[in-house]
This record gives sequence, C-alpha cells and structure tokens, in this order.
Amino acid sequence: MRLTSSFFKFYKSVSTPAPLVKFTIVLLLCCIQLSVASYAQTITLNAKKADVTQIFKEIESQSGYQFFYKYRDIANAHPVTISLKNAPLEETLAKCFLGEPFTYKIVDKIIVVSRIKTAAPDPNTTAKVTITGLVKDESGQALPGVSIRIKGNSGGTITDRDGMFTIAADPKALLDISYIGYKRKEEPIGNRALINIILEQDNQELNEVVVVGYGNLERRDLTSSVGAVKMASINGIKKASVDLQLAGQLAGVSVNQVTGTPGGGVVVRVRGSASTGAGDDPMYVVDGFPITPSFDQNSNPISSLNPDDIESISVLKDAASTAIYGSRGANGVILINTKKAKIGQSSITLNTFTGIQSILAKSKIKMMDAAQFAEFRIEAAQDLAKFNGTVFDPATIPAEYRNPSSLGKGTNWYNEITRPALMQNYSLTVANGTAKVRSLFTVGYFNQQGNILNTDFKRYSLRANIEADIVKNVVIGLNLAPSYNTRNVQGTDGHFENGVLTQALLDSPIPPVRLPDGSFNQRIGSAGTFINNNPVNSVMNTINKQSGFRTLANVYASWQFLNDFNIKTTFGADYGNSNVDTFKPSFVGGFRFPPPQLASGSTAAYNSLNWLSENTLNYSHKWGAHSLVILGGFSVQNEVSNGRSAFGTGFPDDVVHTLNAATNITATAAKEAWKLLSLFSRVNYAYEDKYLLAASLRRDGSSRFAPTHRWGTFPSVSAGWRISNESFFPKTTLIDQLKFTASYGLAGNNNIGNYSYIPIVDKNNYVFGDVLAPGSGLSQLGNSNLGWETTHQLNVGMDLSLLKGRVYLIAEYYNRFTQDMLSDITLPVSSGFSSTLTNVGNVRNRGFEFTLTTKNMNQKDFTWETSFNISFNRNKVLSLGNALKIAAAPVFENATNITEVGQPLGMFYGYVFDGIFKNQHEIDTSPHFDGQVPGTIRYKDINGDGVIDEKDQTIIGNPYPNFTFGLNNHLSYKNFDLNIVMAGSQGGHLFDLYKQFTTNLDGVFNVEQEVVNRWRSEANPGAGILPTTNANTNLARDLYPSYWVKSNSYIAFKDITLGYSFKTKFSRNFRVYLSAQNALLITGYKGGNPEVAMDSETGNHSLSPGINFIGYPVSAVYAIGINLTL
Amino acid sequence: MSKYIYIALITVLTFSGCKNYLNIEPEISQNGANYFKTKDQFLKAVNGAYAPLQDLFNGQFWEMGEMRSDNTSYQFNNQDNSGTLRQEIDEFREIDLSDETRSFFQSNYTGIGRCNVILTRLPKVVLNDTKATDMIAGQASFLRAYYYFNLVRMFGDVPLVLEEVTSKDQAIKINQRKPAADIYAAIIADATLAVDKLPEAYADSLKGRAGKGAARILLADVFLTLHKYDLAVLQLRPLLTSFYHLNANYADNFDTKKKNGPESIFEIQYMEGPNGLNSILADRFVPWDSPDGLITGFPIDHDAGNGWNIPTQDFLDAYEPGDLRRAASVGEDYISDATGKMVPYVKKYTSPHAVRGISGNNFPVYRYANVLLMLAECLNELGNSGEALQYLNQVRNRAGLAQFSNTNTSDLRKVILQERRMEFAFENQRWFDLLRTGTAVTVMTAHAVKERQIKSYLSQGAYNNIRLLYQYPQREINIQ
Repeated sequence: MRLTSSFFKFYKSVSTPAPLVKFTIVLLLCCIQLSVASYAQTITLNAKKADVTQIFKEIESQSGYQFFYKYRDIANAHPVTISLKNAPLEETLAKCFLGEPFTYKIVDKIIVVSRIKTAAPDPNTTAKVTITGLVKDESGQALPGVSIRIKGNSGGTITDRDGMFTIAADPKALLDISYIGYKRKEEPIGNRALINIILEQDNQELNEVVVVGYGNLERRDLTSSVGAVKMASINGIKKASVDLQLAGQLAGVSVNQVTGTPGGGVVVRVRGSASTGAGDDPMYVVDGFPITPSFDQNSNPISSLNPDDIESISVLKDAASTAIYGSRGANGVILINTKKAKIGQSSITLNTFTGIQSILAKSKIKMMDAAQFAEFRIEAAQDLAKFNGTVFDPATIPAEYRNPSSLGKGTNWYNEITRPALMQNYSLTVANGTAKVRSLFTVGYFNQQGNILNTDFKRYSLRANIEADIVKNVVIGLNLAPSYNTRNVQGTDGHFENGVLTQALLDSPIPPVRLPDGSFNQRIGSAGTFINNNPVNSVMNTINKQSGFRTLANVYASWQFLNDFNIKTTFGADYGNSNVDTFKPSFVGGFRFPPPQLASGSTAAYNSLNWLSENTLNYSHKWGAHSLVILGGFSVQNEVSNGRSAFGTGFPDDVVHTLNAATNITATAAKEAWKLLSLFSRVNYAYEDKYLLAASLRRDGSSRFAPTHRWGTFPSVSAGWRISNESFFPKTTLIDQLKFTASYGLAGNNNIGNYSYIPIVDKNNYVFGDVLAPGSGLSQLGNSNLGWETTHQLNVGMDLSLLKGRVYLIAEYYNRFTQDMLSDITLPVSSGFSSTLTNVGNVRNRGFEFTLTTKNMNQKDFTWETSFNISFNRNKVLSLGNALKIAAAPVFENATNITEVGQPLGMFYGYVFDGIFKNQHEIDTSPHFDGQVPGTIRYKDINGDGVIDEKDQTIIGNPYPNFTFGLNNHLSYKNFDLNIVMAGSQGGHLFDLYKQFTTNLDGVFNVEQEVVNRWRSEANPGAGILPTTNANTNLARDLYPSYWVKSNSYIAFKDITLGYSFKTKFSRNFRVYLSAQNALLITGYKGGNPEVAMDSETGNHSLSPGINFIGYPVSAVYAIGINLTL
Repeated sequence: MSKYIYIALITVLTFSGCKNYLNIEPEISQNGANYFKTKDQFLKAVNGAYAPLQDLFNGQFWEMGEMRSDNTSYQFNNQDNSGTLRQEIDEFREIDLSDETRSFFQSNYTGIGRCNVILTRLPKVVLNDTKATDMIAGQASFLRAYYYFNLVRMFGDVPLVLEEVTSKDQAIKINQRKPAADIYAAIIADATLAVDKLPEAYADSLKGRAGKGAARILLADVFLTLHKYDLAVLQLRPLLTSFYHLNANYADNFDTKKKNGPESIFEIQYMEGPNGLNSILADRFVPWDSPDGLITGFPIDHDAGNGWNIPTQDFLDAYEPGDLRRAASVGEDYISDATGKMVPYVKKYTSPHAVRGISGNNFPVYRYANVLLMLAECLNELGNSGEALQYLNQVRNRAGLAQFSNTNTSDLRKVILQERRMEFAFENQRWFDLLRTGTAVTVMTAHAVKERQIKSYLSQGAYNNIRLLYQYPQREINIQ
C-alpha cells in the first residue's frame, strides 16, 4: 500500500507520461491490488472546505480504490464540504465531484479523474452545467445502459455499469430517459447537480421487443403473426440444441423430438404441413444468416450452436412476416439472434450443469422374458397339434424350452444395450461493453453420452460477437462462431436389418450376453428362432465416428446519416466440413448373420461454403402524428458443397480399420451448388399510434428453377387498429390496449434440390469384351415449367392487454393455402421415366391460436407468471393435380400412409380389423383369404365385392392432433425460483409399424408380453386381437391391421427447474438449480416416445407422418446446475 | 469509399449479370438438353441402352421366364417370408400390384426410352460417318425390338412409344395400350432395319454388341412366335453358313474364361468387380441353408435372397440317361441340414468369384444351338422333318445322346420341345417355348399336380389359374 502511494507521488509529478508507462503502472497496480486485504465498500466522510486531494486520500484508505489524476486537471478544484455515513462509493464520489470541473471513471479499482471538456461557449445558449445522475429501478437496483438525452437535442449519453451518468445541460432543459422494458421518463433539471432517477417497469408484454425479418419491433406495433420465445422459460431446459427447447413454447409451432439420438434432428412445423415434394422444415436464420436446413436422425444444423449464446428466438408464422424472406418463407421462419454485450456491461458468466439421462420405464416395450417365451413356444406346439388333430407329444418340444420356470428372466437385450448416461455443459461468457466497443466472448463445451452404448455427441464452441463505433454514426461488427463437434453413431432405429434397438427387442431372451469365459456369446438364438449376432457386441465394436467443424461468421457495417437514414452492409459465411469413418469388424456380424462376416469400412468427407452478401437501407422518420419506416435491400447468397466417400471390403484382419487396409475399394463424389438473388423492401406506417400499416415485397431469383420460372415475387400487406386509443373507446382501467390486426401475403418454397428442372444425363455403363464400356442415359425428365410453390396466408389477430399488463391475450385465426405444391408425380414408365418433380396440387392449413400470459402474483417477494398457448390446426388436401392419391411406403412395399384429395396429408392406410374368426362357419360365410383357419384375422370387405384383396385397404387413422398446447409457470419466492414447462397434444395417433416384428407369431423372434393374450381356441380367445399361431400369421403383419393405430395424446412435463439465488459479495448473480426434464409423461400410449417418427433417411415426413418403427428413446434428464455472474 | 465500390459491384452483379448468374449446370452429370451432339455421345448412349439388360437378367427375367415354368421353383424357407413376391410368380398367384412384374415392365421401357432418344435425335445431327451412324441406329433398333418382344410376350397389349418423351404431358398421353399386333409390326420393322444396318462381326474389344446375326435370330424368333415359319427360315439359314458353330463342350457356354465364344450370338455381358456391372445369380441360386463355401468358396450363411430358381423334380426326371448337359447345368451334391434331402441348384452361373454377390458370368440369350433347334422346329412345321432331324441331332450329338430318327411331325414337335427344355435349361426360354407351342396350360396343370404332392405348404390359390399373360401393372392403369 505504501508502495503504491509512493508510486503515485512519483507519477503525480510527471506531467504527461508515455502511454506505455501509464499502462504498465495500471497493470502493476492491478497485480498488487490482488494481494491487498478487502476494504469496506461504504465510506464515512466528514469534511468542511477540505482540499480535494485530502478527500481522495481518505476515500483511498477506506475503499482500497486508488485515484489516478493529473495535478493540472484538479488545479481549479473547489474545496469540498461533505458529510456522509456508510454511503456507497459511487454516491460518495458523485457528491464529492458535485460542481467540480472534473469527472471520474472507475477502471478496475482505479478511479481515473479527468477534466470535463467544456465546449466553447455559445453566446446564443445559456450556460450549461454538468449534471451527474444515478438511475435505479423500483427495487433500488442500478440500471446500466440507460439512454439519457436532452430533449430536443441530438446526442446524449448512457449510464455506466453502476447506473451513473454525467451530462452537460442547460438547467432549463428536460432529460429524456429511456430504457427497454421501462417507462420512458422526462426529468426537469432545475438547479440540481445530482439527480436520482427511478424508472418504473413498463407493461412488458406490450413493449416486448420482437425480432422480425431485417429488424425488430415492439409487440404493440406488430401487425403480423410473430411468436417470441421467452428465453427465461427455456433456459432451464437442458438439450443439445435450441430447437428442442422450443416444445410447448409457442402457439402454432409444433416441436417434436422424434429421436433421442444425441445431437439429432427435430421435427419443427409452423402451422401444419403443406408440402409433399419440397420440405416442410421452417427456415432458420441465425444472426441474419439463413442457414441451409438438413435434418436427419443424427444431425441437426442448429446443434452446432451453443444454446447459452442465444439472446432471442422469434418465429415468423404468417405470410406478412415471412414474405420478406420470399422464396424460403413458406414454412415459417425461425430467427435466432445471439447475445451481444450491452453498453456498460462488464461481466463474466459461467453456466454449467451435469445431468443424468435415463429411459423412463414407461417408454420401454414389454417383451417376454425367458420363461414366458419358453411357455409361448410350448403352447404354440400344443395348439398346432390340436389344429392338426394329432396328440401333443411333449418330446417334440426342444429341450431348452421344456422347463420354462427354470429359465427365469433370461436376458433383457434392450436393457443390455442401453444405459443411464451423463450429460454435461460448461459455458463461460465474458462480456464487456463501452460506448465505443461492445464485445462478448463465449467458450462452451457440451458432452452428451447417449443412452445406447457407444453413442454420444460432443460440442466445443467458441463465439466472439464484437461491435464497435469506429467513428461517429458508424458501427462495425463481427460475429464469429467456430464450433467442432464429434459424434459416435450406431444404426439404432428402424428395421431389424439395421436397427439394433429392434434387434434387441427381437432377440431370444434365453441365451446369455457372455459365455462363461467372459467372451461375447456370438450366436444369439434358441430353437426355431433366427440365429443372430450379439447386439451388445455389435454396438460396442461397430465404429461410426463423425466429426464436423463449422464456422458461422458475419461482418457488418452500418452508417447512420442525415439523422433518419441507416445503411447497413453485411457479409456472412457458413463454412462446414465433416468426416465420417466407419468400420465393421468381422466378429460383429448382423441380424440373421452371426459372425464371422466380411469386415467392411468406409470413409467420407463433405464440405460446404455458403456465403451471403446483404445490403439494406433504412429510413425512419416521425413528423406530427405520423411515423414512417422504409426498408430496402438486396442480397446474394451462394452455396457450394462437395462430398467424397469411399467404401471398402476385403480387410485382411480387424486390426487396421482405415480404408487403406481394404483390398476392394469403391468411391464416389458429389458436387452441388445453388444461388439466390433477392431484392426486398418494406414500409411501416403508423398514424397517431392508432392505425398501423405495413407492406413488404420481395423478389427472388433462384438457380433451382427453370430459366423462365426463375424469378418469383412475394408481396404482403398487413394492418393494425389500436381501437383502445380511439376517443370513443370507453376510458377504463381494465383495458390497457386492444388491437386488431389483419394480414395477407405470399411466401414461397424452393427446397427441391438443385437441378430438378434439368434433364440429367447420368452414367449407365455396360460391358463389352469383358471391360467396362462407358454409357450414358437420361435419368431425369426435365421440367422446363418447374416453378415456385407458393403459400398464401391470411391472418386475423387480436391483442388484448388488461390490468396494466397483468393479463395479455393474443388470439389469431389463419388460413394458409399452399398452391402449386412441388411434388414428385408418378409417370407412366412407358415414357422411360418413373416420376418427375412438378408443381401440382393445393393444400390448406387453417386454424386458431391463443396465447394467454398472466402475472398472477406480483409481490416483492413472490411473483408468479403463467403462459398458456393452444393451437388448433386443420390440414386438408384440396387438389393433387391429375393424381388420385399419393401412397407413401417408407419401409416396405406396402403403403403405410395415403394422401388423398379431401383428406389431411398422409393418413394411415391399411385393412380394417373386424375381429377374429371364431370357427369355420364364420369363415365360410364371410369374405376371407385363401386357406384361412379359425383363429385368424377377419378383415373388413370395404368395397363389398365379397373378396378381401388390396382394394380393401382404406384410411385407418389420422395422425394429426385436435389441438396441441403448452403451459409454462414461472414462480419466484424470495431467493427461490421455480419453472415448470408442460406440453401436450390431444387427439392424434401413431401407427405402430414395429408390431409387425414384435408380435410376429411364427416363433422366429421374441414377442411382446401381450402375445400371451392371443387367440388359442374358440373357448380361449384371449384378448380378441392377436390371432392364432397355427396358420396365416402373415395376415397380422404383412397387411396392416387397423389396431396398430393408437392414440398418442399426452401431457409431458418438459421441464421442472427449482433454483436458488445466493446473495454474495463477490457475484452479481449466483444461482444453483435442480432440474428434471421429461420426468413425467402422462399418456395411454405404450409404444415409447409419443412424438416418434421415422428417421428422415426414409423420406418425407409429411407424406408418412406418425410411423413408430422403433426410434432412439427419448430419456428423462435429471440435472444440477450453476449460473454464476461476476 | 471501398464500401461504395463494393455496393456498386454487387448492384451491377444483381441487375445486369443476374440472367447468367443464376445458371448453374450440374458438374457431376451432364445436361441432357445439350447432349447427343457427337459420335462419342451417341456411342455412349447406345451403351447406356444396353444397360437395362443387366437389371432384367439379374432381376426378374429368371422369375418370369424360368421359375414360372415347370423347370424351376424355389427352396421353401419357413423362417422367412420376404420372398413372397417371387413365390407368387412361381405359383401363379401374383397380383397386378406385384413389384416383380412391374419392375420387369419398367426395365424394358427404360431401355426403350433410351433407344427412343437415340433414334429421335440421330437423324437431326450429321456425324459424317455412315458406318458409325448405321451401327448406332442398328443397335438401338435391335435393342428396342428386343425390349418390345419381351413386353409383348409377357403382357400382350402394351403402350407403343417410338419417339423421345420430353414432357410430363407427353408422358401421360402415350400411356395407352396398343394391340399386340401393332407391337409385333413395330418389332419386325426395327429388327429388319437392324439386320440391314448391323455389321456381321465386331472386333474382340467390342464383343457382346449385337451384330447382324443377333438381329437375324431375333427376327427369326419373332416370326417363329407368330408361327410364320417360312419367314423365320429365311433369317435362320444364313446363320448356318456364317462363322457361328457349336462349342464342342456344352459347359464352355457358361465358362467365364470363354465368354462370347463361337456359339454365342447374343449374350448379356457382366463383369466381376466393384463397378456394379456384375451378375448376382451365383448367390441367388444357391440353397439358402447351404454351408460356407459350397459354390463360391467363401461364407454364404443363411440369406433370404438365396434358394431361388431351384430345379424341380419334374425337370430332373426329364433328363435322358447319359445326357452330358446334366452335370454342367445342375448341382446335385448338396444335402440340406434341415431336411436331410438333396437340394439341386443351378450351376450355369456359379463360377468362383472373389466377393460375395459379385460374379462375372454372362447370360446367354441366343446361342447357335438355338439356330439349329429353331430351324428344326420351323422345318418340321413346314413338313420338312427330314432336314429338321439333321439339325436336332447336331444338338443331341453334342449332348452325348443317341440320334433321333422319327419323322412324324407331331412326335418330332414334342421331341424338339423336350430337347429345347434340356438344352436351354435356366436360360429363360422355357416359358416362351410353352407359350409359343400352345402347351403352357396342359404342361403347367400337370406340373401343379406333381408339385402339390411334394409341397405340403402350397396354399389353395397356387396354380389355380394358369395365366398366359402377366397382369398389366396396376400402377400404369392408375395414372390418368
């Protein structure tokens, strides 16, 4: 301490030190300060006409802070008279500096004193005085970053991290104080030198800032349908990617976690499904950059984004809000903006959690154990003997089944390949904002082990968001977000040929996992069943490593000129490369192929570069009661992607896994590109805050369409009427605001692949003279008329705010009409082609959405907010061009879903189950298949022709729910907070296609426990659903019986988080929480995850929704976490 | 300042250059709108027109042309129902939605589509090479005739498309079935043109292309099918004096080291290796429960894809004692673990290969033996059974069988049919032979009785309706 003082004395005598010296000293001081014991944070001072340097010394000794000044600057100091008791440092300083011709700034623990630069006196204005102020909220918390302006003047200042500001102003002027989320305040200055200002919180719902395309708006000024996610209510949800956190948050946005694969894809639909040939995924825009969506079971482009980096998410739902995104807006747009440092912010934030994921017992399909399976085999033999009219001979029972009870539970293969799994996240953010430079850096690490052995997802992410005011009115910025992720993947889902989960369900429960010597049992099966490989061995030793590096980068510059104009230019790039390496050793084998099998391996590399150049000009002007904002801009976006992959067999051994060891190698490559040119504009006009009008127009040119159909125009108009501002509207304290909105617009869909209109010549080789003869042929019928799929959408809405924002209701009706739907239509093969992509057909989605937000409690110690949303969507196909129907057969040749005019897209399709034939007489008197015997399924003769055949297939169920809803409750009591997120769906169905295997009655697989209740005889008919094992068992699986359609209504507790915030001296925020996700699932559905859907590799979800074919289980997560801000 | 330059640049790009800026041609394939200009491109297109033959012969031809007949069936697999569609074809149970018959239908039309592109665009360009132009036109005409010949024999009335289809509307318009007679007229026109344009022979490096001989025997086969025996003979006789002759050893016809030998007139070309141009039949035709290495020398293991086209007992019983062809055609050395019974299997396409499922056997379509037996059939029908015997006995001699000397037309007709059955066993000729000779219903009805005695698992619908034509694919009817 003495040392530092002497340094100061030395320094004080030096008039102008070199900057480097200054910096060194500051640095040195910082180091020394670290070792100094803590000082009081409050100051007690009593002085009368004291020299200012005396006062400084006193403050130094009480606070441990150091003053740093030049004598020259304090030469004109006035003597200080002050009396303070236990005052905070800031207050002490403010009072000391009152009226002094210098001011101060705190840098770390140094108080830097500098002269107030006074402008040359203007003879036309009265003398300005320097005012210091402190801005706090109602609870006494200082507010940093509050904008302070002198009314009528341009320029101004903002409060620092301690809520302090200094400004020079005419004492007669008014201070105009504004801050987002708080009521604007005008404060007269008078003869005060120190002004304490308390800002009142504003009606948050009305003034919530909503991010829209190319800008943002306050909710009160919205005329279109935009859902903004309340980040506070999703921050607690622990997921790999942010789209998973959205479930239940917004009306009209359905988020289905169709797979539990770590880092895997999510099915998000905004206001229903509307496309058969182009995708239904919404467009994602991250920090203004539209990223290319490519979702499947294992990958999700959003998963490279650290959810802790996200500042806001909004979903553009109607065409009036999406039309500004033109050709890509038809399925809705999800806008994600990442965090930036705020002016005056200086913080270090650490978020971390560790959780354990476990599969709910309810989500597991109940298969027979070893004893039950043996019993089932014995009974089947007895039933067959009886059916054949022979005497049952126990000696015909294979020895291993003869004594079921001795077998006990046997092996539960599903449990053997699954595990409770850890998930952890660390994210550290350093934010620093000054009026000149705002910077935010995040480093994140996320590690999710999968519930299936040898599956995981890891993400290492960095982010730098920097923004600087380089010269007056010019802001430049950079967002840079590199991330690296790795995945271990297994073939988990679907058909038993590849899906280890299905294999595990079907494997005989009798053989053990390991032999007595500890090695893997390599032949899994028992008498009569298929002999399979060992699924545990398979998942543990099959290698499928994927790694990806991705950087999303944006640089921008904006220039505010002539007060009302702003020009902004942005260049962004999304670069990604990824590698996939696989190896299947010879000792792994496959289902029905026990090892040894030939080892095989592959390696693949992909990269893509997507860049965007975007330029906008914004004009905003207010005059009188009018306000006008005009936006115009153009952009160029371009993507090039490359892929190479090689596959090899003939590995001499299982030691070297890389492809160089293979003796047979085949390779392939892919290369694609697309470009998009766009012009767009928007006008927002408001009169007296009562009448709101907006219109937008975008023109897009896409390389994906035929030259004559390349350009599309997407206009929209919307209007709002704030009736509550009208003079005739009754004055009431009940209603704060009532607003009606209506909008209509067009948006497009160009998600059809890159060269669909071109007749493609592909290689079609042949052989002559025993060597390859290169050949070619047209593989695609060109379509020179291929054009946009266009969605017209009408939206009518009402916003109602009651009781000073305690109740806020948004109600909306929409009619979304998709025209010229892009679809692959079937061609007669006599043309030489089997299908072509064309514009065909129309689909309508319409419905209602309601969002109700209430502040049930708003006490000092106790707050309780509830947000409820509910959506009703109805989907109908109005036309399919010249096709009668589109049958979708995602796995087998038989269609599971059918799309017909007049019905919703992708209805379930199959045969209507009409009971079990009790006896021969019933068979003889009813339509039936050849050779049916009593105990087999009776199907309904739908067309009444007396014969059961493929023409008797019909719609057997509707996958879509009547409504979906979300309910969020957020409570806080003193230092505790509790967040509960629920989501539900009512009236939808799933199609249990997996039962084709799990209720196979031939004895080749293990079966579900419900098979116990199959039909055995007329006297013992069981549950009346599953037929006899004697004959025609294929009727219960190769034809799809209507009893596979099951209701999947559910209520899920997506998240329950309980937190406690500690008040500490060292931190601004220190919160510890416990969280449980998906821990409670209320449903009658027994097939596992009620949101399941086939993985996307098998095709378009919208044509075959709701098929449960066994997917990666979605688990419950129990986590403990910490949020710490310094 | 640089900002303005940048903005100006982008603006220029946007407003003036956009027309070309948005044109992106695929790099990994060519744009068909600008293709087919040069000789090389047409030659490649011709090669591409052959390509569907590989799919046809690997895929459905043996199901619909051989297993349909009394020659072969399948090895029953009670553990697996994934081959139901093929079983249905064997037992005359397939429906109009069958994926197998639809695939056969489609593969032929894919080939026809490629020929149509060539024959539509060739007259519009000048290649300045008459020889090449003739060869291109000749091969495309031959292939189109052959594809239609397959379709008309399997399905009867089918759409007749003889020009390139370039739009969706045109594709819908041409989807109309035309009488079989119209199809035959088109086939005869194409094959006649092919006889005229094609060269007699090719250099070794081009072996496997259709030559004049292939066109002649195709045309003869068409006339024979239409019972125009005299016209058939006109095409067949020149082949007697051409360079074709019988291999001394019957098995040489299926030897991968002796492909496209002196007996071969037209055969489907396959090659072993990783290019996807291989035969898959060695593994298809092996018993599904056979042990490792029975045929191919490496693990097979149980596979639902195997155990097809298994020779029937009926067929084995038809061999005369001492027939040298038996050992080259059928493997009779495998005793099934499951049943303890011998399971015979087709041996013609089972030469050893390195990678499972990838073999290199060619598949014969027309051999010189067929010239002899077709000629025998025609001459017998034309009343010249004496000369007919001469050709029949050439084939019997090679098989190590005694000369046949009965000149009774009706007896000889039966003998020739029987001789064809054994000579062309598993070469997808049998079902067409039964159709052409009008014996399909009687032969198959008798065969069904024998099969029922052996196969307890046959459903009641099996062999109920011996249809001469396959059902027209429902998919095509559904498209308006």
